[in-house]
Amino acid sequence: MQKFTKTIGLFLLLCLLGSIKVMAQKPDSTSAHMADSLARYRQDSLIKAKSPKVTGTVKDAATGKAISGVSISIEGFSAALTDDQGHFQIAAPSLDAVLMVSYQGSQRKFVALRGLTKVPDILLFEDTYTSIYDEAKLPFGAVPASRLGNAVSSVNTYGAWEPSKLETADSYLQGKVAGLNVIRRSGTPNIGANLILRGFNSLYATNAPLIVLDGMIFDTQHYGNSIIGGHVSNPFGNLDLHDIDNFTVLKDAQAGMYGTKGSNGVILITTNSNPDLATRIDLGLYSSYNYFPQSSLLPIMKAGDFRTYLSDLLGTTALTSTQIASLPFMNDAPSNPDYFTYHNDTNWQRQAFANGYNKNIDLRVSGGDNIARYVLSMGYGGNKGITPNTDLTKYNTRFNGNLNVSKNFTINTTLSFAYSSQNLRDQGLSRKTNPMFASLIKAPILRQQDVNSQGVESPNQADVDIFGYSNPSVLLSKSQQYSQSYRFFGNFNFKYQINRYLAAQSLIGVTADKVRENIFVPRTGVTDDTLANGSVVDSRLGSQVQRLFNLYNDTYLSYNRSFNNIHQLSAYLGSRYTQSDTYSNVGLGYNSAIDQLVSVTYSVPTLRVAGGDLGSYRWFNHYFNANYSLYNKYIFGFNVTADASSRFGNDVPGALHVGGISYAVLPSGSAAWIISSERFMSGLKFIELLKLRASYGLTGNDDIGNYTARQYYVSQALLGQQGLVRANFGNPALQWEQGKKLDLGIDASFMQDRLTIQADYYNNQTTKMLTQTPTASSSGIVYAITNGGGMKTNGVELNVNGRILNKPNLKWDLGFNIASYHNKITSLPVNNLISSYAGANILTSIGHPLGVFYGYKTNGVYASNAEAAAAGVSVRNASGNLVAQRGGDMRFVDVNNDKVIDSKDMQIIGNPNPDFSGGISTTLSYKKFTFSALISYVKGNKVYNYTRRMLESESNFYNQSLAVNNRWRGDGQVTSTPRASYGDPSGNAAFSDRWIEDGSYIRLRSATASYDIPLKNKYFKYVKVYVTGYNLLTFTKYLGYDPEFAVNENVLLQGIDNTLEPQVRNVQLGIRVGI
Amino acid sequence: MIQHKIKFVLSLFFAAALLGACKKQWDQRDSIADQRLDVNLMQQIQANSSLTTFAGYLTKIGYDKVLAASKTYTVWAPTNAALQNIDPAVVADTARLRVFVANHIANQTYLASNIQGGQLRVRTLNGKYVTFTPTTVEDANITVKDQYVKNGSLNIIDKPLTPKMNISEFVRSLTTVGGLQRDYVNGQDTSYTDTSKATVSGLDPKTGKPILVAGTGQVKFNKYFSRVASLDNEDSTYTYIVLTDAAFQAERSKVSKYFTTVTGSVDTTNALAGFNVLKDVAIRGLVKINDLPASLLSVNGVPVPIDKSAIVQTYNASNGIVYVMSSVNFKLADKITPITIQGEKPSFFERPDRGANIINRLRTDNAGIQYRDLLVQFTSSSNSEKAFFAAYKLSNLYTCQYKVYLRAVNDTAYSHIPAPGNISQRIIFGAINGTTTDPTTNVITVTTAVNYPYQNTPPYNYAEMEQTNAAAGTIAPNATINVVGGRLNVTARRSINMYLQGANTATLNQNNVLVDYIRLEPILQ
Repeated sequence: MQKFTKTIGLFLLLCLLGSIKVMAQKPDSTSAHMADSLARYRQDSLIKAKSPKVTGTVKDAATGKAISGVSISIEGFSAALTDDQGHFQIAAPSLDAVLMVSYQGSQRKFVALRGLTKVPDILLFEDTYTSIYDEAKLPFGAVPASRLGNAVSSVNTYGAWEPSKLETADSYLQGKVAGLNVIRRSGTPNIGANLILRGFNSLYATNAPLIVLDGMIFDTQHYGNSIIGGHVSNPFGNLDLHDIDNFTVLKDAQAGMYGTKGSNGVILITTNSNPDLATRIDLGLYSSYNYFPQSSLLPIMKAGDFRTYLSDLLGTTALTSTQIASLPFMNDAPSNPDYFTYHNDTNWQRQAFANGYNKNIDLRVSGGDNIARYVLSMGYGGNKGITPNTDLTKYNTRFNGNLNVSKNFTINTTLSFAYSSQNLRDQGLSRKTNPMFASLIKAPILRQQDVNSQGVESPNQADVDIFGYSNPSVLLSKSQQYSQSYRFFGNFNFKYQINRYLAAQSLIGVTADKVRENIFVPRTGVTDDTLANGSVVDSRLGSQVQRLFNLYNDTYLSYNRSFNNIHQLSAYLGSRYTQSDTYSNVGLGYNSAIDQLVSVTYSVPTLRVAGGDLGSYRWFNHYFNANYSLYNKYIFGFNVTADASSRFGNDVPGALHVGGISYAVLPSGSAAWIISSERFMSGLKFIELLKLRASYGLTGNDDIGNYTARQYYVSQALLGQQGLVRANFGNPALQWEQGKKLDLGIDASFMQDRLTIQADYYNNQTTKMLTQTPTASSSGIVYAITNGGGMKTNGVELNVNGRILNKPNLKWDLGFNIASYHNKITSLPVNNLISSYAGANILTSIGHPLGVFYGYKTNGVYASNAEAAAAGVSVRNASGNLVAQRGGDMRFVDVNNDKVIDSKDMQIIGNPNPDFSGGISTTLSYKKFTFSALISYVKGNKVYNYTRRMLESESNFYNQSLAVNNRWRGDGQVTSTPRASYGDPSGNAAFSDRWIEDGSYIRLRSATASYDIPLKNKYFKYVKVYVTGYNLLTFTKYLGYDPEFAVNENVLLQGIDNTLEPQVRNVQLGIRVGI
Repeated sequence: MIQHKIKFVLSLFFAAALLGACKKQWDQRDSIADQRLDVNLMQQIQANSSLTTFAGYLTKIGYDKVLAASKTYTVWAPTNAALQNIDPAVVADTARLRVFVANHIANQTYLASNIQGGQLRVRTLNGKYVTFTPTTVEDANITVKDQYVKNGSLNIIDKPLTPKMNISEFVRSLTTVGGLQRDYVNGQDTSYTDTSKATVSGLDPKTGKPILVAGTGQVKFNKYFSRVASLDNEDSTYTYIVLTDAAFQAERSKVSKYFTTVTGSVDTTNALAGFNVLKDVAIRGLVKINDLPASLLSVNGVPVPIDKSAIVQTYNASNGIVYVMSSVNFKLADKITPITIQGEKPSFFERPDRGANIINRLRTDNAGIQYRDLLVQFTSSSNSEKAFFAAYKLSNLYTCQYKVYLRAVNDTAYSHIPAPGNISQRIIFGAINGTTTDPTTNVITVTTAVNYPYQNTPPYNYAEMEQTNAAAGTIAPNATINVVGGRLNVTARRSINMYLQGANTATLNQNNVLVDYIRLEPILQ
C-alpha cells in the first residue's frame, strides 16, 4: 500500500513539474505589452476575427424546443446569444476551449469543443437539476463539479423549504452525500447528528468534519458535558437550515487547506447568497404534527404476565412462599388496604410518548441595487418533543449584505443571531430519572396516583414504589430540564481588487455562544441517589453556563489569471487566525426542602458541588494554494499549510521550528484529467463528461486538548482541605495527529447529462494518533497522553444521479449513493484496551476496527439440569465465585475449554461500523405537482441494545418484554430465553451476543408532495403548498424503538442504544408564498 | 373548511404510516414458542381426562379462578382413580372440600427436578405443609411430574393428599392415651385483649380512653406453646413426645417435691412439676422413628433419653412427628438444675445515692471468656459506705437445700488495694419483706435469716468460691428459708432476697463490692 502511495505521490510530482515546464514554454507574449486597454481591445478583436467560429444549437432538455437568448461565452474571450432558433455562433480561441452556457432558470453548463466547430445540440435542464455542472462553493470561489480536481460533493438546498425546524443542518445531510454517514443522535428536536465523513481518523480527538460557514469556522465542538442526562447541546441548532443555500463537502486531501483542522474533511456552508436585485419576499408558514404510533411501542408485559414473572422471580429470592404470598401485590383480597395500589394494568410506556403540534414561520426579504444588496431572514419555530412536556422554541435572524463601496472595494457581511429554549427530560443511562426508561421498567400493576383502600384516587402522584423505582408520571410532569442557547455568528469580509488579477481579502468575525442549563428532579416519586461521600440524594438541582467566544480572521491575497485561454492559474496566499475562549460554570445541589424550591440556591449547602472550566487556545494557519489548468483538460492543484497552535508542544520532533514554535507543514496535491474534453473523444456522443482524479496529501487534527502539551494542576480535596495536585505530564513533544489522504476518483456523465456517476476510492491513514499510554504507578498519574497510535481507513463511494423520465410535464429523477469504509487500528502503545459503557465492553485492538463489542457468545439455553450437569460448565460471577450452570441457564461458548466461563472466553461479538450506508433520493414532477422522497439506509452495523438487555435480564423487578414469557420454566423446555433468577447469579444477562443486534435499516426519511398554485395575481411570484412526512416508514430487524441513535460523539460508543428518544414521525403541512 | 382538509390529509398520512409501522421484528420473539406456556394450570388440568374429578372439585369451591390467575402455583392433582375412595361427606361439605383441595396446591412453582437435598417441605394453600421429593409428595407417588405451564407446574399423583393434623391438634384429639398431658395442654389455653384489634365503640369522656366492645380483640393463645414450642404452628417441625398417664405421673412424682408451695396445694405442685416434665418433651426438627438416637435434646436443651421400645403410637403430623411413649426416664439432675444469679443485675442497693460508684464491667477472664460483673468502688472513705450491699430478688427456687458459690474476680488489687489485696464480702438471705427504709436517707436496713460469714476474695481468683457455715439469723415463724447443716434451705416457693455485702470498714477500696455471679446448686436427694 505504501508503495502505491509513493507511486501516486511521484506521479503527482511529475505532473506538477511537467505543467511548470509547459507554462515556461508558452510565454504570454501577446498580452504582455498591452498596457493600453484600447490597444488591447483591438488586439482582442483581431484575435477573435482570426479565431475559428463555433456554431451550435441550444435546446430545452425536456421539450426539445430551441431556446433563444441563451448566453454563450468563453471566459475572458468572447460571448454570444442564441437566436430564435436557438442557434449561436461564437469565436473560440482554440478548439480546446470550453463554452459556458447559461440561461435564466436553467442550469449553467460547460461544453468542451473537443476540436469541433459545430458542437452537438446543447440540452439545458432546469436550474434545480442535479448535474455534473453543479457548482461547489469552494473557499476561494465556486467551481463546477465538472472542473474539480478533488473529491467534493455539493448539496444545494434550494431554500430548504421542505424540512421542519426539527431538522438541523447536520441531520439534513443524511443520505445526501456519498461517504458522509450521518447518524442522528435521537429524536429530540435540535439534537443533531454525528457526522462521520469517510469513517474514522482518531480515537480520542474529534472525528467530526470542520464546518466553515460563509468563510469562517463555525465551531461545533462541545466544551463540557450537559448536566441534562443523555443530552448533547448542538451548535447546529443555532443555524437555521432555511438560510443555507449550499453545502460543499471536501472529502479528500483538499481539506488540508484548513491545516490541522482538516483531517476529518471540511463542510463548507453558504448562506443566503443573493443573486437578484429585485426586492423579493418569501414567507413560509407550516405546521406539523409529531406522532408516535401505538404499534411502535415495545412489546412489554401487562399486569398478568408481569405478576407471573414476578412470582417466578421472587421464588428465586430468599423469601418463603408464605412471605411472597403476603406481599401486598400478591394479596388478591379486595379487603387488602393496598389492593387498589397494586391491582392495576397501567400502560406506562404509552404515557411516556406524546403527540404534538408544531408551528413554524419563516420570512426572508431580499433586494438591493448595484451598490448594496441584502438578505434579511427571520424565523420562529415552536416544536414539541416526543416526550410529554418537552418542547423547543427557536428564534433566529440573519442579515447577509454585499456592499460595493467602490469599483474595487467590496464588503460582504453575514450576521446572525439565534436563540432557542428547550424543555427536555433526562435520557440515556439516567435510570432513575429517564422517564422513557422508567416507564419501560415500571411495574404495570402500579398506578400513577396515590389511591386509598376504597380505590379513590388522590390528586397526589404516587411516590417511589415498593420495588424502589421512580414514578414516570412524576418525571414527566414535575421534573425540569431546561436548556437555553444563544449564538451570535457574524463577520465582515473586505475585498479589494488591486488589479485585474490580484486581490486582497480579509475576513474578520466573531462567534459568541452561550448555553445555559437548569435541572430539577423532585424528591417525591423519584428514586433516591447516593453521592460519592455516601449522602442520600432526594431532589437534584443544577445549573450550568457554557460560553464560547471565538475571534476569527482570514486574510489572503489572490491571483487569478488566464494565459491565452490555455493556462489558467489561480493562487492564494494567506493566513487564518483564530482565538478561542471557553468558559463553563456548573453548580449541582441536592435536597431542597420542598419540591417547590427548584433552584440550586435552595439546596443543602454542604452537599453542593461547584465546578467549571476555562479553556483558550490560538491557532495560526498560513497557507498557499495554487490551481492550474491546462487546455481546460488537465487540472492541477497544490496546497501547503503551516500551522502553529498553542495546543502543540514546543518541541515536536521532526517539525518545522520557527522562533521556538513548532509548525505543522502539511502539503497536498491533486491532478485531474478530463478525458472527455480530448479531441479523440468527440465521437463518443453518449459521454458528456469523463474525468479521472487523484489527490494525495497531509492533513492534521489539532483536537489534542488545549493544555495537554503543558503541565497543569487540578484541585483536589483531601480531608476537607482543598489543594492542587499535578494532573498530567507535560509533553512538549505532543503534536497534531497527522492524516495522509489518498483519493482516486472518476466523475462521469452520460447521455447528455441524464446520468452522472461519481466514484471514489480513498485510503486515509492516521499516524501520531493521540493515545493514552499507561505509566508506572509510582508516577502518581495513570496515563500519559502521547502520539503513539495509528489508524487506517479506506473505502469506496459511489454516487449516481439520473433523470429517468424527461417529458415536458413529467420528470422523474432518481439519485443513489452508497459508501463503505473499513477501519483498522494499526498501532497502539498498549494493545487490547477494553472500555466499558452501559454494561458493554468495547475493545480497542490493533488490526480491528474502532468500537467493536467484546463479550460472550451464546449457544442457546440448557434445556434441563441434567444437560447442564453433563456440560459441567461454571460461570465466574461478579464476586469471583464459580457458579455451576443449571437448567435454564445460558449456554456460553467456552472458548478455552476450561469449563469456566470468565473474561478469557470473551470474543469480538459485533462491529458497529456499517458495511455500507447511503441514500436514495427521487423526485417526480407532473405539471404543477411534485413528489419527492429521500430514503436513507445503513447495512451491516451491529448495535448493542442496552434497553432490551434491561427488559430481558430477568434478574430484578423491571418490567420485562413479552419475549420473557418464553423463559425457561422446566426440564425439557427448549427455548432461547433463560430462566428468571433474582440477582442473576449465573450471569445469564451478561454482556453477550444476545444483546447485539443487526442495526441495518432502510428508512423513508422524508416524502413531500407539493403543488404550485397557478396564479394570475401579479403580486405573488408563487404560492406553493406542500405536505411532508418524516420518518414515516422504517424497515429494520432492530428490536428497539429506533435503529438510529448515538450516545455522543465518542467513537467508542457508537451503536449503543442507551434508551434515547426515538426518531419522531412527523407530518407537515406548509405553504410558501413569494412576493 | 381548511381545518377539515388538513385533517383529511393528515389522516391519509397516518393510514399510510401505520400500515407499515407495526413492530414486525418482534413477531418471532414475543409469540409463545412452547404451547404449554399459553395455557394456565386450570386449562391444563381440564385438558387432562384423568383429572376430571379433581377439576370438578376445583370448580366447585371456586379454585378454578385461582388456578387461572397470574400468580404461580404448584399443583399435585390426584387422578380420578385416586379420588374414588374419598369420603363423600368431605365432598359434600364445601368448607371441608376446600381444605382438602387446598392441600394439593402450593403457592410458587416448585419443580421436582430442582429439589435439593432430597426433599422439600412445601406449604399448601390451606397452610399445611406437604413433603415433596423428586418422586413423591407425602405418601403419594408422582406419575407425571413438572408439567410447566404459564402460571406454574402440574404434577399428577396416585393418592389424594388428605390434610393432616398438626401436633397441637393431635394432642388435643387424644382420647385413649395421654389424657393427663392432653388436659395439661388444654388447661394452658388462655386469651388476652389486643386493643388494636378490638372494635372501639367510643371514647370515655373522662379518661379519653377507647371503650371496647366486649368480646372483640380477644386473642387466644396457649401458654404452654408460647413457653415451650409453637406446636400449633405449621411453619416449623417438631418431634413431640406424648407421655402415657403412667409415665407422666412417674416423671412428675420425681420432681414434685422440689415444687412445694407455701399453701401446700397439691394441684399447684402438680402443675408446676408437670410443666417441669413437659417442657422437655418437644424436640426441634422431625426425627423419624428409624433415626431416633438414644438421647435427644429438648427445645430447652435438656437431654431426653429415648427408649424405642416404649413407643406405643406414632403419628405423622403436618408439622412434625408425635411419639406416644410409656416411659421417658429423665435424669433428675437435668430437670432440677443450678440457679445462677448474675451479679451485674441487682434488684436494688443499700442506698440509692451511690450510682456514681457502681460499675457494670465487661471483663475477659483467664480463659479468654468475656463476662460482665458488678463492681462498687467508693472514691472516699466514709462510714456511710461501710457494709454496702447489692440485693437480688430470687423467685421460683426449688424447695431443697443449696450449695452457694460466689465468683468474683478481684482484679483491682494492684492499682488500689495494698497487700494482701483482699477484699472481703459475704452473702446473706432474707425474707422479701425483711427490709426497712429510712424515710430521710432512703438507706435500707435488712433483717436476714441465713447469714454466710465474710469471706476474702483474693486477687485474680477465677474459681467459684463455695460459701459454707451459714448461721441462722432472724427466722420468722412463717419463713420459707432456714439454715440446715450450715446451708441455705428453701422450704416453700416464695420470693426471697439475697444480699452481697462488702466489708464493714470505711477503708477505701477494702469495702468494695465485686461479683460476677452467685450460683445456687440444689442438693438432690
